[in-house]
Amino acid sequence: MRRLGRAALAALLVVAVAPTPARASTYDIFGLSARDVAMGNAMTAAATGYAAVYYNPAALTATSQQQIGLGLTLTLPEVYVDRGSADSDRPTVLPPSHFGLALGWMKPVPGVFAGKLALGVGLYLPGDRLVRVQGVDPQRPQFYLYQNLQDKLLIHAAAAVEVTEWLSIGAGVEILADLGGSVALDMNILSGEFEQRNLSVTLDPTAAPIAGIHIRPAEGVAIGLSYRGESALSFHLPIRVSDGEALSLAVDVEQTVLWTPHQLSLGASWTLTDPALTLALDATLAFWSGAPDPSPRLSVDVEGYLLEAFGLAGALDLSTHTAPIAVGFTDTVTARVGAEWQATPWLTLRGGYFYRPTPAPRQTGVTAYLDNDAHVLSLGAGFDFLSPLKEAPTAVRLDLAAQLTLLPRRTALRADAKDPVGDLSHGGHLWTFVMSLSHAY
Amino acid sequence: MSPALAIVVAASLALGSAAGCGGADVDAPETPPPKACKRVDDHLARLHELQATGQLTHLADAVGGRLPDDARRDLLAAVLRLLGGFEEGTFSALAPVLDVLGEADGEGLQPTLGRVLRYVAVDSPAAPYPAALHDLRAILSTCEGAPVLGLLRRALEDDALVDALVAALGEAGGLADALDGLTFEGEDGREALRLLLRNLLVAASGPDFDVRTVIDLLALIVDVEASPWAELAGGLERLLGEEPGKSALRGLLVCVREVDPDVALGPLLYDVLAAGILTLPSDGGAGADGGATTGADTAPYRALLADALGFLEGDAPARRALATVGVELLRDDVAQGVLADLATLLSSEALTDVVEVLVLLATGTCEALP
Repeated sequence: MRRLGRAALAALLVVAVAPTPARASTYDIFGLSARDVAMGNAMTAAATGYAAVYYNPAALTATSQQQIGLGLTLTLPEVYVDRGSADSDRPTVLPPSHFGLALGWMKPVPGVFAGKLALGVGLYLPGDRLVRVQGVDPQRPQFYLYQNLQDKLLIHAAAAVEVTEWLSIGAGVEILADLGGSVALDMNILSGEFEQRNLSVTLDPTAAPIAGIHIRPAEGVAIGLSYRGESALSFHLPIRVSDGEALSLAVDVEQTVLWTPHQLSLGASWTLTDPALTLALDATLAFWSGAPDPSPRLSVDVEGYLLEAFGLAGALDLSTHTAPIAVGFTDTVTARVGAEWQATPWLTLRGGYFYRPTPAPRQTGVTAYLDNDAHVLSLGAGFDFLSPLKEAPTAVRLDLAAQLTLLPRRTALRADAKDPVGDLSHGGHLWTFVMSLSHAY
Repeated sequence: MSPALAIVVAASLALGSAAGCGGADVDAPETPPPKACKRVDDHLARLHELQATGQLTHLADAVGGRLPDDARRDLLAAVLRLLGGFEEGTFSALAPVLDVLGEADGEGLQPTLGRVLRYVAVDSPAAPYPAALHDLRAILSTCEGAPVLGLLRRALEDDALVDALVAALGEAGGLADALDGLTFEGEDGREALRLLLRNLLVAASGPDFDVRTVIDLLALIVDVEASPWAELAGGLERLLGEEPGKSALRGLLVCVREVDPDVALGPLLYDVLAAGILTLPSDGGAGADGGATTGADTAPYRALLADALGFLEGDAPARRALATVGVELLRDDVAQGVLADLATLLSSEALTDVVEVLVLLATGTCEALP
């Protein structure tokens, strides 16, 4: 098993030089806890504690203690878009700063399942809104990955089973919701009153699967394989205003937002005892080619016998459905490397790097969904404390991380000289700071 | 449960009951009742019935199926611009005289127009006059519309001319007899009128053309010295004797001659005038107060029509939209059905209901009109 572990690590070293995929939710883009962020999110094999519910559920069995955790994330984007057209009527939309709160809990199940079964739950709460469905006009320059993907309530739940001493499997779900409803108004235009008003709004839960395998072929060596299913929030709201049968106006709004692609990750970690060093490598294939157009789909339908009598039904109808927009994203592969060194019994230092190629093509056509390749560097530290409430070995841990995402300048020369957007150059950087407090007991 | 606790529970229940919480004995707050207004569906019942029973199918299919989408949108946009362009008070002014449109005994303007269209489309032995329709399509797509629309607008604004025309149409029975006895260049009746009109078109091209040519033509048919023809002749002289009416008339006649040198429209005109279907009463119909229609009764409608003509005169895209629609609806394979449906629409006076709804919207009231 030890020979297998070394061979797997060697293979992953080759993969490590390959470009990294773009991620979608805040976990996908920046990471979950401070430890994960600091280690470049190379966590498929190296995840510990409640963070495993996201990176690899099977790794839940790697922790023997129950754990709860609390984290705070702050993202400060400093990105830019230089416009070739100064008087364009398509203003740029820049991503705002963002902060969020992460909560996590995991528990090895005791009793007859002791050492065999573990459960975990994770929750991410955006700081200013739980969910935002934002559809910016596709011709307005916007950073596709950073604009509102952090405005997403994330709920993860997972369970893992240790099948053998060296093999664990796990499965879980990411829970989101579809927003739907309808508005139906019947008005008397002559009296200026609504005679009937009916409205309903529903949140229909949806779930995307997460699954993983965790292999421990030798002491200190782990290999992980995980899959995260595609998820999205669908929004649909039909609105109908009518005055009997004479005239009616139906407006239908549909949108698919907060979309994350199918992702397949392979990782390996190697932990030494002297020095107390952990090296982690990761590769993730993300299927960005399935990315839908995030802009709203609208249709306006005016009907009624007042128009039908004169053959004018449909004359005022409008729809975006006849001109769907293909975003043309491509699948990507990302490799990551992270390292963790326990310098002293109470201090752990961490570092990581990954290169994320952009899935977005150069925006030379009609749309302006901007994205850049990203060089992501991170550093972090962990501080272990004794429990302030009672004597116990290493009961409380404070982890800090800082991540710098560098976006090299990218230029798009628009194909149409009369294009209202104009030529674009975009880039910049983002700072992310994470603080996590966890308690193992 | 201990006795002390039981006492506390019982006392709490008793206190709550005594306090009389809850809304069982309280009436809901008063809110104003909804206005008792008829729905638009109730006002447009005639139109709805026509559409539901398929009596407008030819018209709807022609507009909905034959016209390109952009032509329909242009038409609707023109209608919306027209409605938005009316001066404030235009529709409100119709409120006191709305009944004038709904004439009694089918002798009003709408039913009369309906009879004319049905005669041209169906009832006449020569229906649907394919040659004339061909020339009408050519006129719509070729001739300059703005001067003619301006001419019609100025005609509507001339009260005396309108009154004389209405009176003249009220004597259509006598006109039919006069046409029957018409002789010109060795031809009688229908052919004679066609030749007269051809001569008019030829004269329009000459340097000495003026309105007297038209009046001299009229004199061959009726006594232009006697009322109401004398008043009509006077009105025509005012309208067409000077610029810009003179140029507008001449331009129209020259264009008509180019597209219709054989005057295929002549037999159609003869048949309509001679059929006795123009049965407008000489007083114009029932007045708003139950008596004869006066200029005051029709003034708001003429103002509305004049504004509409003025809009078309100045809005080239609207004219193009209407011309495009007109040409398509007058095509040989659909014209008969379209004209018959339009005849049905006018005869049912469903358009009166549409105007009534517009008046109610303009006045902001849903109360019954006087």
